[in-house]
Amino acid sequence: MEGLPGGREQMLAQIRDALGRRAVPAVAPAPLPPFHSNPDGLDAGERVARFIFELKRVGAGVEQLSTEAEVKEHLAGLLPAGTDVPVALSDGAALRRLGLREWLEGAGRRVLPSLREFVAEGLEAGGARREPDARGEEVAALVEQYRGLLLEAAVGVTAADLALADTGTLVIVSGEEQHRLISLLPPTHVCLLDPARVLPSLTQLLAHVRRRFNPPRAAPKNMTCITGPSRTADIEQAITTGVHGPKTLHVILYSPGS
Amino acid sequence: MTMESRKHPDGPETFVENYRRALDDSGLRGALATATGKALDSRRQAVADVGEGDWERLRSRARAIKEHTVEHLDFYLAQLADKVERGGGHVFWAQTAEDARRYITELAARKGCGVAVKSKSMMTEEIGLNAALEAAGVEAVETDLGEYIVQLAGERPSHINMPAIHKTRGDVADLFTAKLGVERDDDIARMAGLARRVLRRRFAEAGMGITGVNYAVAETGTLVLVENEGNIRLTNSLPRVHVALMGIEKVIPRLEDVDVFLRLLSRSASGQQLCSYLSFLTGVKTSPSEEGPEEFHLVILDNGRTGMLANPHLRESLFCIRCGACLNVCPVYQKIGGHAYGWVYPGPIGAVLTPQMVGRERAAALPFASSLCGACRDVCPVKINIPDMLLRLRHEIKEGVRKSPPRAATRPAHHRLVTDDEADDEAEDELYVAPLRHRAADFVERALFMLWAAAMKTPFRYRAASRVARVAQSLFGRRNKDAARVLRVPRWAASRDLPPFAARPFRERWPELSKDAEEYRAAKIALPGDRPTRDGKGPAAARRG
Repeated sequence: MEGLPGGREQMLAQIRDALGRRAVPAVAPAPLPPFHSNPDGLDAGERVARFIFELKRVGAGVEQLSTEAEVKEHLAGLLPAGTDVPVALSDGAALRRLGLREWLEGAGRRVLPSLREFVAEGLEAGGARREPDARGEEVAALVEQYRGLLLEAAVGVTAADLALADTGTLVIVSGEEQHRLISLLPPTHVCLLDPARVLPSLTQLLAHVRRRFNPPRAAPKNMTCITGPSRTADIEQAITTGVHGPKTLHVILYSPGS
Repeated sequence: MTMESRKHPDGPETFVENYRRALDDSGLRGALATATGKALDSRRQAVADVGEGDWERLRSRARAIKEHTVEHLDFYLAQLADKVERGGGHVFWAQTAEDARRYITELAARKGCGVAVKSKSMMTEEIGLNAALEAAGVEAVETDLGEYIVQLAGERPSHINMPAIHKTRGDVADLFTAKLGVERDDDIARMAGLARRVLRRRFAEAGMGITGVNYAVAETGTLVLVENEGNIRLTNSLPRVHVALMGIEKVIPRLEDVDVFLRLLSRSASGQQLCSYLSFLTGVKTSPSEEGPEEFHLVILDNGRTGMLANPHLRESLFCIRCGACLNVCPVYQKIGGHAYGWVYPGPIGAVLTPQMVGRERAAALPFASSLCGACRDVCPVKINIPDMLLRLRHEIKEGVRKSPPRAATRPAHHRLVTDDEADDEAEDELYVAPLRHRAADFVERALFMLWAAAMKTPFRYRAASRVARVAQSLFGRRNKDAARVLRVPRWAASRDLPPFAARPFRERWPELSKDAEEYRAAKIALPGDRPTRDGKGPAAARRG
């Protein structure tokens, strides 16, 4: 049932008719001339300051740290007491470099890794027992199990690929790391960001995506822009956080070079 | 505010009764005044932060993009569909609401989805998707907090992006107690927490997630979804099947074009610089250990939109980005709220869209429910000329011009369960037929306007007519209502004042007035109407040097 027969052609013909055109356009229409938004005129340092200012304005916590030890100490302070509550940890490169998983597990914390790590480890654990044909089912079961575990996690830790100074926005691109659920399901989201990755605004982000992924050929499968915690104003326009996503958002600015 | 008043099965054809009921609801008026006032203040601040010049540039650019896209809509839609399919998604082209409903319900059946979670989408309201899903045995769960509240109450959203604007916290507390069996608690944060817990369970069991689309990028096949709560992200991340529903006008050419719209949308809607979450979705996962749904379906819906496209006077209706700013600023919406409009899209833009989507006969009253003050045009981020389109629709309705394709979207998105045959019958029954007394009033109104036009043709006739009118009015004691009663145009006069004629018309007084003015100027005295110049003197003084 992939559409009614001729659904596409019929609808496009109707649209052409409404536009008073006969033929199928053979070439792409000439694009509009480029639009330039005003540059922010900020240097790198000022841009980070602006980012921090905007982050606070949208109700996120932010800490600028300079050593690995500080990052770990700060992160430990954000985790709830009791080692039984799982901490979800995505597989961003920045998090791996810090060795956060080993460190958390060393401290007796239950760590829930990214989905692909969880599936890979699950398959490895049960690998010897199963036929290759059963793998599909096994993966599906692991995915299901993962979702259940993630719903229990109190904190989700991810890295961000980029950030936008003028709105205080974190940008996470899938492929780099599996962030979609970890940054969304737990009530607290902690996000690590290299201050060197702060762009002026959305304009530069979209230009960056174009350069890096070279549309129209490809684009990242998922890119999420996060500006503050989950919020609603649906009851009497009173701003309430954490209605579906994280109630609190903490950003740790840390430059691995420093 | 009483809940019964809004449960009345109202439609656009009973607009007059609807708004009268709404005007009697003082609780509703209070809620509307607070909410629209807050939204407008935030918007004003956000626009001021951008700066008026830059804001105007953004608006002009957004409009240019929409004009360009609509002009090449066939090309961009085909490009979008190709990209989505190349990325592993399915595309369904739906001519009518019925086509879209059938595709989605059959898909749910095929995939064995008993529960579908939905993020807020005006499109799904427009096609009455929830009722169709329920009829097919699929439980549709709204997950946006406001939309969830409205669904629990068995109502329709009354605002494009503040669905429960008409409810107080007390109303919501009562509703949660009645429907969820919890102890009454009207603390807003705790009510939001309760909704989170209840809806998390629904997300976990849902096999299908249904969202709308804010922007669909043709060159990449990327969908852009904009939200604050995170329920859209949950809806497109957790269930196995993701269905996104878009009108043909939601396509934009390039990724960069998203920039301008995002800068305008959040600021216009809520005064935020940017909404909490933007999701850019391109393609479907290729491995089971990737995140996201296994299947993606994009439904591209016409539902009467090519009718708008074909009408050069009304084509701009397709530029709307559903920010809701025109609702907040509208003096009519502020008083009567969204339900009175009787269909999915309320406010000024609703008065433009509804007649085109459900038929001009059924929504004949809506384009007249405007003072044409132009505030909607001034706040519109895409510079849609709503007042001009309202005038055009008034003309088309009075002249019987019917350019909307017949029966494109006649089915109202009722929350009631209605089978399609019933819905068709109902639509047939509900065709707008003006009552006899209205038609009589129309006749009188028309006759009076013809007299008026005749009187305005030459200066002589005008002078003669105004003399007659002056005498006539003095006989009736200069009272509007009396005059209206005598002239038998109660509808026209109910909301308009017929100002008393001056004892001596301005034209007669002008020679003396102009002489006085010259004498004042000669004496270098500023007249009340003179604007001060830089040096503090009036223009008369400035002219003379």
